[in-house]
Amino acid sequence: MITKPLVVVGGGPAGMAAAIEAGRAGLQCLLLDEAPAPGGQIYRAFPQDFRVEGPLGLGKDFVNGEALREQLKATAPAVETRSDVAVVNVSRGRELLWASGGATGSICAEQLILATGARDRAVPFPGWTLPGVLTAGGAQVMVKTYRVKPGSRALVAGTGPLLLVVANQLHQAGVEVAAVLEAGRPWISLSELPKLWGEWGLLRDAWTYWRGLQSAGIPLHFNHTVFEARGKDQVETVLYGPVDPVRWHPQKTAAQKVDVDLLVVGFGFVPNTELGYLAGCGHEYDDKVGGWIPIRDERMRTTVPGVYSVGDGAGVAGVLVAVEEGRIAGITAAEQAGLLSPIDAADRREPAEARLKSLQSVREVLDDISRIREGLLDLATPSTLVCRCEEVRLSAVQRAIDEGCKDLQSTKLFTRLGMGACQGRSCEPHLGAYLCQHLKRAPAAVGRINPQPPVRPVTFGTLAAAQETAEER
Amino acid sequence: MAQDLRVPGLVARGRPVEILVGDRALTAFEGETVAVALLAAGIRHFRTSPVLGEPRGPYCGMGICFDCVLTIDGIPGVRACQTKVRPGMRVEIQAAHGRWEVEQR
Amino acid sequence: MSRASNVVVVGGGAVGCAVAYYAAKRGLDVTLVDTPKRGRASSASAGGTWPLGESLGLGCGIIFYKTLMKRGGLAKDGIGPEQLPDCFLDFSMASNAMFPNLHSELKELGGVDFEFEETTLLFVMLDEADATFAKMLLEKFPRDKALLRWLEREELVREEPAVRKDNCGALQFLPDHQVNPYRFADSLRAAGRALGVRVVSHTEVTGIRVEGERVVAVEATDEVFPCEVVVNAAGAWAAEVGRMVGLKLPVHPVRGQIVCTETLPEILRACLSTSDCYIAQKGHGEIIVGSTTEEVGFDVRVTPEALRQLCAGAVRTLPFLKDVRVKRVWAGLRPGSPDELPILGPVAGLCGYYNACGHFRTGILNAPLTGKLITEMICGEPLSFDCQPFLFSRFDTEPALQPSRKLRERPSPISNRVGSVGYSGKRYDGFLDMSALVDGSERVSLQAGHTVVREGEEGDRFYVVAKGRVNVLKGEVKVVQLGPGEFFGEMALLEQRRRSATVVTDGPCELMVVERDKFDDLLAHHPEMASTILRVMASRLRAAISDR
Repeated sequence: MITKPLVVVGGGPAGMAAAIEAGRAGLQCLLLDEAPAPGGQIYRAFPQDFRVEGPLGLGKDFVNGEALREQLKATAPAVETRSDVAVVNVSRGRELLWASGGATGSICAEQLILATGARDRAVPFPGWTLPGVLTAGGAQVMVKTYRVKPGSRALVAGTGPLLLVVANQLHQAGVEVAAVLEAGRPWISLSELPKLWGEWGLLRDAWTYWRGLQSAGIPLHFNHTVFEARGKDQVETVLYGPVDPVRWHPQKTAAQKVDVDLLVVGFGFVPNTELGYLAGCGHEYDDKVGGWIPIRDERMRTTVPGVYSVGDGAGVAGVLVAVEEGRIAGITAAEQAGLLSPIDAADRREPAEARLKSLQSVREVLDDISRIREGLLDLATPSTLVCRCEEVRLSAVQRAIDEGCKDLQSTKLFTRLGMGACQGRSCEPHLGAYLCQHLKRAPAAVGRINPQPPVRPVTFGTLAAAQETAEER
Repeated sequence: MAQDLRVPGLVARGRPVEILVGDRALTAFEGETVAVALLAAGIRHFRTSPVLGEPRGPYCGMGICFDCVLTIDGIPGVRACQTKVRPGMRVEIQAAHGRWEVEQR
Repeated sequence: MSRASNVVVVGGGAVGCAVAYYAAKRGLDVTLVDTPKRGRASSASAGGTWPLGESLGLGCGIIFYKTLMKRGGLAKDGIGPEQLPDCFLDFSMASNAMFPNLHSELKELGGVDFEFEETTLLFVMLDEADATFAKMLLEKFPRDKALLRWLEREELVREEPAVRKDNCGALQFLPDHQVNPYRFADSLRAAGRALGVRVVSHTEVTGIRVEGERVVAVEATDEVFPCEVVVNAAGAWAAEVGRMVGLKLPVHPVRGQIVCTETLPEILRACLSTSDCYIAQKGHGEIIVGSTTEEVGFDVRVTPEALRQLCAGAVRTLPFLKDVRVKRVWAGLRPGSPDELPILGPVAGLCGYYNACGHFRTGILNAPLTGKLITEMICGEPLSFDCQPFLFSRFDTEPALQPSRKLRERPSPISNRVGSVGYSGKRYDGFLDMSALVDGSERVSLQAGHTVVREGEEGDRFYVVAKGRVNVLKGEVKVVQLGPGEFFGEMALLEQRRRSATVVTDGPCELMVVERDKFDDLLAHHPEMASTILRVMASRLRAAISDR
């Protein structure tokens, strides 16, 4: 098996930053990314076959992403980037199994930085499985990366600043946006302004997007959310209305109707922790940053020696935090490998640490505003599908609880939720919260749908071929 | 005329690629995924769910949810959002878990 | 203190739920105490109910047989495959016969369908060695041969079009079926609840109170369950529960890994077994491919090696699987016993304690009869099936209970009725008869703490423990302890390879040492011993293969 001094998994902002810092310090680094080009979700590159006709109007994400990609390129040959490579398993701490097309192989990482990002949190409500219902992230991929309108008239609902971004992008692409529904309260209140002091960039962004909606005449309703999507073969009508400002309980009697063919839902993100879990890292639950996250120290080290976790995959905090965390891990890995003296490493970490500190107060505000509240659990009715893959209704979960199921694992076996193709990635966060609420148990007691390999789909043929290679060696 | 939801400007797409969706020929562009090609043509119903027979299409758009799976070149269950279009590709809207060709020729 | 219960069942897997169900059906007051543990076999298993396949030693047996064939060390009608004793076949057949009625009964009572599917098991032959093996199975089959059916290549292709075309036919086991394993426990539990079983979940049993020679209560973290009877159905964790009453139960976890496909339309009619793996399509459409046999303690991680091997084995039989995606891989812990037979019933000198453990690979299959028989024992009724071969007392190498507890020879009325006889005078398998070894071996005495073989070193000797005990270590971790009649070092005889574990004497010890070149003689002259060695080797070989 090949051994690499450092492997970074995930080519989003955090992973790129980690590889850049490690490479600058002279540490041989392999960056594995499942996308065709580095960038992650936020800095997702255009398809290679597309040609950009000037970055004007493509926005700052594009510009920032290109800048990071350029820095990454400059670190070659210390950093080798392999795209279209999915890491499907981590065993015995730092042994990686990767798959790419029909090929597969193993790499032993002396140090491993996991920068696996986050996914959209799925919140079930009646009709959420209809075609035309897209996550905020999914809508962004369509409109931002592929420049395709996913519908003609949209309602955008959920929580967090991303809603404004998506609404602007849809509008600019020519999709009519009927309204934006934010389940939480206004993002920036006077009392919170001092905490944001100094983070002009973020304030300016928020302002820009807000202005964008205003000039487009798109209404933004706080403490409102989607109740139900209706339609025969796709979304035709959406019911929405107010939620109580504290717990976000839907006031369904005050529902209103709007005719749209696109419903974009963005209820924040959930860290992708599968690989860290398989590596044996300890995890803890923190609902402010998306749920289960790896336990880390201030240098991004997990509980498994030589394994680091950075970016949204270690707790959802956005791109600015992700980049600084990546830098710290990359520098620390180089220090650990003996390429930086402790003093040099501390010097290099200092700006990133200062930046993280400055961002901390903003994070607290945003975390508090966007944290998912339990009222959203009331959106689903007994007949609502809570597991999209296995088509399990909420009533089946209620039956499982009646039958004595007290954790996700037993509920899974009883109902088959989480046993489908997505392996619980969609349903686990929401159902975990549901069980916590209904059984009055802590997240740790309710447990998880334990991640198992392969964390990305791989065929039998590919895995079988891996054995032959091993035997030939 | 066939629907095209592509947004003009800013980028030049790759070369045109002909794919077959059922027996309907579609023009997509190199670099696009199957999900993008279908959505751009106004096709949202990618499969019919196995238990309840409900229509499904892309949801997460980034490979996590498996709701956009359909049959591509005879292989069922392929994620449309993670598969690039290729010239001559045969895409079939999938009923339930699709049909596998299990016999060897 | 909780209300008094007649029976407390420890362990909520298939066996525990079956005991609770049958006991409740008989009118007993039953409490089922369970805590979820990772790797519990009932939810991890494949759910095959294969009385013939399991009894005839498909899987390990055939893999081992082929290894020997390649070495040329096998006479035409020499050592047979690893087969379990006839009593096991009879037990399994009797339990298997209970499924159809149980299926409708449980669905009716508790509303949970365990998805009983009348299928068959096909031993698919892919080469001449497989065919030779299958012919021998057919010839030596100890029961009605109408239970078996020989399929030629064309017939197999017709019945299972997905199987590779260039196969050599199949041997079909007609009574072998399958269920949904986790639904099975759910179904028994739900029906049990309908009959009044109190289910206490997420509760760890911490002790068993004994007064005099009588079980009086089961202690859990924050509750005590007074009872007259306690049933140890704790699966791979049964030895822990045994220790609570001072009983040294030889039950240890044996890891098995399983690969599961994405959901597929209906493709397979039968369950398949090959010399690489078994393959079964479940009611929900996934095809399950298993399994490994590894003694690695309570480690439930999956290994890349097993993943690769199982995938390769599956594609070899079903070529279309090459394009099918793996959805999930997992590992379960079978409750292994030294002779692969379950350990059932009372133990001498302890009133009210019953074993329902050690079911190894057949906990699902043998759960119904186990539940029924344990209930009959508890009620002091005549047993509907002879349980003597399965009593704990068959392990008569040591006193059942540790001497720290003062117990007189006064069996409870119930165990009187059942009797406490050894296993028909025959040494149970897994142990060697030392007298046969005298000719070909050297006897050496060692002091405590002596390292006999060291992991990673080369070696070509085979050892049998004559006196004392040795500890087998993997790294720093003690894997198992071996006593008189048990052996180690056999891997070195099979192929030139490094020792896979370190063995250190536990106390003063005497070992019989057999050189590599003497081993073949030994096998030739003592077929009885050979088959014992082969059986144990087969499971260890499996472990070694998947460990590599």
